[in-house]
Amino acid sequence: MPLTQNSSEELAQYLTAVSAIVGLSIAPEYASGVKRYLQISLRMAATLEGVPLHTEDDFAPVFHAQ
Amino acid sequence: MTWMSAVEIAEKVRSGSLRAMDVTEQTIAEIAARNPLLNAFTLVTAERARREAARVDRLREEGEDPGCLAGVPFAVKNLFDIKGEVTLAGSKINRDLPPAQQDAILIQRLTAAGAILVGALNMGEYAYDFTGENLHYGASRNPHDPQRMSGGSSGGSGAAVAGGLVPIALGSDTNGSIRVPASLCGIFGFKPTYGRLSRAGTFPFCSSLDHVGPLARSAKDLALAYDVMQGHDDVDPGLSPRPVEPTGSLSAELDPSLRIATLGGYFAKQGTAASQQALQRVAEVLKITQELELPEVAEARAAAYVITNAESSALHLPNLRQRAADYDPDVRDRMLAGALLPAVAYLQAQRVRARFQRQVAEIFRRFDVLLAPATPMTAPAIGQKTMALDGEEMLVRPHLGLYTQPFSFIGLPVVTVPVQLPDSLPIGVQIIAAPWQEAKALHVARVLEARGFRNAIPQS
Repeated sequence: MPLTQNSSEELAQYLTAVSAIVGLSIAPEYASGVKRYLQISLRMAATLEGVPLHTEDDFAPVFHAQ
Repeated sequence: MTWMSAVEIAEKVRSGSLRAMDVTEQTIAEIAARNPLLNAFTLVTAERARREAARVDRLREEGEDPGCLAGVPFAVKNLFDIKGEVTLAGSKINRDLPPAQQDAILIQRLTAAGAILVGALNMGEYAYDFTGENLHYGASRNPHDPQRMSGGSSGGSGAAVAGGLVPIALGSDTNGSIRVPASLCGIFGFKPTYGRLSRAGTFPFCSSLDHVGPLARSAKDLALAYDVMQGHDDVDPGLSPRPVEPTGSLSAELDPSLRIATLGGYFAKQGTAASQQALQRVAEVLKITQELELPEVAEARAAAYVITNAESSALHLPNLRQRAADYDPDVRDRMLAGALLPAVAYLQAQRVRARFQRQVAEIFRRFDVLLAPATPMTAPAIGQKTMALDGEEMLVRPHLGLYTQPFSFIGLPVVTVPVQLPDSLPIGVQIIAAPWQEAKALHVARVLEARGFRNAIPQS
């Protein structure tokens, strides 16, 4: 997960850019808290990079036509 | 009557030696007297409770069976629909929703069995919480020390049961929200297999991880409520079509054929002496010497975190756009962060979930029951933001459930059993079984209960 290796400034830029695309207005006073939790989530996501997933590893929820 | 079990109350009401109305009036009086300290209830349904108690007593007087939970008071986390009441889910925002049109299905089933709903219970906002703190309604407080956390997010459920206000409460558990308050409050908590109990009429958090279940002061009470709550409905898409599988009467003699092991590795790290001592005591009493490690459990827990973050943010996206200021800041900031996560993070987490499920299924070919600590520590102080585990400073709110998350992640049935260590607040141990093997986890919990692992009566 390259984002976890990026600087705090790059993460702030990501937060600003993606929140605008998602349609979220993140107030300046929220920014530090959101950034802190985004860092935790991205660190968790980066942990998953160490799992040797294979092509046959499907998602846990599997769609069934009805 | 305050500390009577549900089994005892129902037996006395059915036999006519105790009236449901007397139980109800005493329960309402106890709540009025002690809830200002515990802050467990956000709603007391006194008039409804009196109507239901009168019905139970009338049935008994007319010679009919009022049900296996006759006269048993219970309360529900306030994310369960109660007919005519707004389902708050611990939030300010939900106050604007219309009142529920009908009771949640599990309330309907408990009521049909003669149980008496006495109110709704405090919880962490939208269940995104392990502390029991709530910005809008105040923290639910630990009956063993009201300056300490109840645990969450089913904090009111833990406080109400441990504080002797009700023998049974319902909670929800997405990552540990039944098991964490059960551990910190020193009671029994039960999260059945994912898909076993219907979530119809509950406010969701993360659909692919949400479970519902009971908290109680005994394993027998958990089983009694659980058996009544099983069954089919057409509303919850996650509900399994499995038939009802009653646990029946639980033997207090350990089934010698059960293959049991304790979990080390991840579950021996990031904890405190209390969590390890609790596990050792349970292992000693059960004479368990085998220890094993689950593979990739830290990764599983990380995946559960990512899935929770993304799914809850998707559910709340409209309100995050329009009413961000109305959330508890800790919930808001986490959900805003979750809305910004790359889709691949969520999808990889769902692939890790399937892989971990297969790996643990292999272990359950060799073992029937696994034991692990429920929380890394006893109850932190209310307001405490960080904790030091294995020398690492981490936030309390997102990390108090680091021992519970790996099991709800793959939907395993788990019972939390209370352990009372000398000169310590209570702490819990998880009894974990393979999918759909709830009866085994409840049986081991019952054995431990019979060997002295019981809720302590709070001194405060």
